Amino acid sequence: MKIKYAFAAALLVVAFAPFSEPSASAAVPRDASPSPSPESRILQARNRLQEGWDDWNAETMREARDQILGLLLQAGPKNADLLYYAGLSEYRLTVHAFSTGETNEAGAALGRAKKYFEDLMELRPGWSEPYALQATLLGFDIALNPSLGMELGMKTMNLFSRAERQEPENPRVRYLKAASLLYWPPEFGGGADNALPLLQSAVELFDKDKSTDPIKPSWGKEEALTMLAGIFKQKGEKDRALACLTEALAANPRYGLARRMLQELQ
Amino acid sequence: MMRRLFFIAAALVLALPCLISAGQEPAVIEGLVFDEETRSPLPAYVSLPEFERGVSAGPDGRFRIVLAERPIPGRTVKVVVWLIGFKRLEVEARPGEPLSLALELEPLPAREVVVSADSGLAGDKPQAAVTLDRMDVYRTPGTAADPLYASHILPGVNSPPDASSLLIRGGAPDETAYFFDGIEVSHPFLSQSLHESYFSIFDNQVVEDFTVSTSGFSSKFGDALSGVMDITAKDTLFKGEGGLGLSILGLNSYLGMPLDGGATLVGSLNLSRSELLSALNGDDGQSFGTGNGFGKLVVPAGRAHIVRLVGLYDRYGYTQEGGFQAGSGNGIASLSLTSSLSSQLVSRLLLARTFYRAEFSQEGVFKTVIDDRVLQARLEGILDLDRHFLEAGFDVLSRSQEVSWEAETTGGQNASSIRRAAYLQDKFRVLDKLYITAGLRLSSLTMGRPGWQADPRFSLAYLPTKKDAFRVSAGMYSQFGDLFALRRDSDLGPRKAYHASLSYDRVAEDTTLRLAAYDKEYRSLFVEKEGGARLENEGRGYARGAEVFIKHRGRKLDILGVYNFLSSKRMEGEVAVLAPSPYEITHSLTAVATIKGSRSSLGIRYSYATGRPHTPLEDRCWDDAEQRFQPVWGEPYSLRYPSYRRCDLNGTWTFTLGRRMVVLYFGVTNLFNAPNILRYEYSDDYSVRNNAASIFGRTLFLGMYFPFF
Repeated sequence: MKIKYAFAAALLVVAFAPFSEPSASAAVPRDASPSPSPESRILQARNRLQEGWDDWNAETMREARDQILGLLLQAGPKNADLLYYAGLSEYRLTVHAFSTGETNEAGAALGRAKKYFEDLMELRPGWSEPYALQATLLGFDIALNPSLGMELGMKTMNLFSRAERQEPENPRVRYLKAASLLYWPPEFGGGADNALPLLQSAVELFDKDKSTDPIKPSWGKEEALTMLAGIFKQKGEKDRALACLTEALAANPRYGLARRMLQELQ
Repeated sequence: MMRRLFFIAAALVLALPCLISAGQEPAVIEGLVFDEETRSPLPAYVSLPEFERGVSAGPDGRFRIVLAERPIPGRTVKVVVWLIGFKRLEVEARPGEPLSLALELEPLPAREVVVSADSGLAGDKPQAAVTLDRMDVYRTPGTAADPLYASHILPGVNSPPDASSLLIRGGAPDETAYFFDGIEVSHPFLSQSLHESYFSIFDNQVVEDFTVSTSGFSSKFGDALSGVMDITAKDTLFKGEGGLGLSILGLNSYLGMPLDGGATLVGSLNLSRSELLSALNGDDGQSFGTGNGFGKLVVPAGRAHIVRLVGLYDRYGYTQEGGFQAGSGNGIASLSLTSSLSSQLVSRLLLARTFYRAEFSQEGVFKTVIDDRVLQARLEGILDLDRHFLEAGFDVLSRSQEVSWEAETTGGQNASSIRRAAYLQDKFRVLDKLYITAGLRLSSLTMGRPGWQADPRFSLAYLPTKKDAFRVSAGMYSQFGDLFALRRDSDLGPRKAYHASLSYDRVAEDTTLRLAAYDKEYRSLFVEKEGGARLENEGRGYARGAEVFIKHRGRKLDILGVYNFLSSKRMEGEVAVLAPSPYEITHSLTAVATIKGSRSSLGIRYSYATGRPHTPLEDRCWDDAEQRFQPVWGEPYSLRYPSYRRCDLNGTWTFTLGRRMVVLYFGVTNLFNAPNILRYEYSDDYSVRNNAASIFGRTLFLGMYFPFF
């Protein structure tokens, strides 16, 4: 008998739920329970972005980007942390789209990423990372339109130099510059030989970087080590490459690129 | 049994609505986001704040958000749409009804919009304005990498054949003011003679950007009737850069480097001699040498202040077979303090000294010395309120000029004056796409007619799309004129020009187009009375014209074309009637094409200009009293010199030597050796007419440059 009443009650819930006033649980469902703090929401979205990046999954990165944009819309366009992560998510989507040959998608994401970092540079002129990320994005601009190489190449170098002058010990600035140098012609100071010492010093800076603010960026060490491994691999120094990859995975065990490269080398 | 049936029936009744709804689509918010201006889809972020739900639209602008629970019929949902660079949009939507959401561009801050109808700019591209970038100055044939020569390809700018000085919209060369890093420079030319001036004292290696205003210029600038060239030197650098160049004309070098504490040092040194150039192109019995040094030190003082020290010195020496010699020294020294009083308020105090000394001599015949010294102080403030961009300032300029001569007689004269000015200008956004600049400049001079001169100025820009801009400018401009004339005629007031101009610019990704029309009315020009014994402000005139400018940048080919039409008359100086202006170049056309390779470039430029008017010599007559022939001149400026034509070529080839980049370059000026005439010169008895030709015959120039990064 009890089962029968329970069945009827369940039917009632199912039957009337779509017609009920969606004021309480449906309309504002999350207001009913205690909301997570803004910081934890940012962290959640940032971690989701990292997850997508580690797994090389554009869909997850887009999802994370949308979470960040939702928070940005709530907080207003002057929230530097959210602008940074919105820009970073578009930057990573740009990289992904480029690598998969989706140049239209890459161009669109690139344009948005640059705009976020432009706004951020104006909002926080003393923060070096937006300059370094913007410089890296200009490299993608050149890849899309090589005739802009001369003009944008100079701008890229100026932006990196500005970032370095502002925060000489920032590991991500050092890493991004090294990553760009790797693809520049040697006569402009680029190439693997010039990038290598810079990457090594970036890794040292990552080791020293002990930020206590959880919201602040903390990505990049595993990327620098994996890039370093790539250079060692190219030079035929397999042991050093393996050591770098082991260290990269110690820093971030999920980082897919390092895992794949490690499998290839083993 | 009955109870079982009752329960089954009750269950069916209660489940009925559920079964009915099970066949329906879930409640969704869906639609399309697009750019209101271009109608192209936008991948904007669409949010339902009440549901804390959001999604980015796809590349096709479409979005779809499925609501977890279906709201009651008739309920609306707040939808917020946003994309960086666009205005946030909020709408109420009914689930299931497709939305069509048009986003408007975020309005630009006032500071980023060029409101004046008549500016040509170099450097970063502002909103819908004609620009030349730094590479244009290098790549354009016939500019000798000189910003003044490069500015000749801007609409509204002309020059006497092959000279550097700017004839802006039919104005005389002295109607243009020159500013370098905020310092007013009275003698911007390396070589300056009675008739023409060649090359500027500004080294393009250290120039960050420049602006040429062909009217409608800012209230910050004054004492100029036709235009302003405003050049900014390189400033704070974050990385070292430089270069070393060697050419058949000499050596040029540049170094810019960041120093400890955020300071920067920028410097350049150039030395040249013409002998090798002359030997390669045919010795014409003339030789010259130049030296140019520039230094700028930028030192931050605390977080809010920056001190800048600027020094520039140029020297020029010229000798001609037969004993004629000319030489000049030209210097600038300045100290400035820029203070960021808040993130929106910036002030600058500038103190500067400029000096110029030139000597012209013919051995045993004459020697003339010109000395011109200027001391200036400027205090300027900028308040950026996003919608309003306010500029205000004061400037004081003390000038002392001296001319002395030794010939059959010896003599000299001098004149000194102090000019004071104050200005206020507000550039503000009236509507999202409508910007207005209104300004007023007050100025006075301790010479001439006493009193303050008020010059109101107004410009309006309407930007219907992000690519198009319509601009209107009108304003009043005053210029006090030659100090020696003012000393002699103390009742002379400033000369005046009233500008009105209209322009349309379209700046698409690769192509820039400008169409402009203008009217400049001159009043109170100086006219000679009593055979030149005195001057009065009775002169007048006009310059009316139209301009077309087009620039296309392709992957392999850049094209630039400029056409200027001008109609101008003046009553000025010796000409007591309204006659064709000596600066009226009716038609001028310049076309430039540059082919770009990955490591090389080749440019060709063709220029055509109608010959300027001149007063013909009709006859000569013997003067018993003077015991010499005197000219009988025809109607003033009733004939024209032959039209001007010139074709130039240049090219670069970049390669690596070791690991260092090297640029080889060449230039051929006046490829077809067209005999362009500057003016006619007559023998002492007016029996023979000689053509004074442009100094730019066919000339080959070769050089190499080693840039450092």
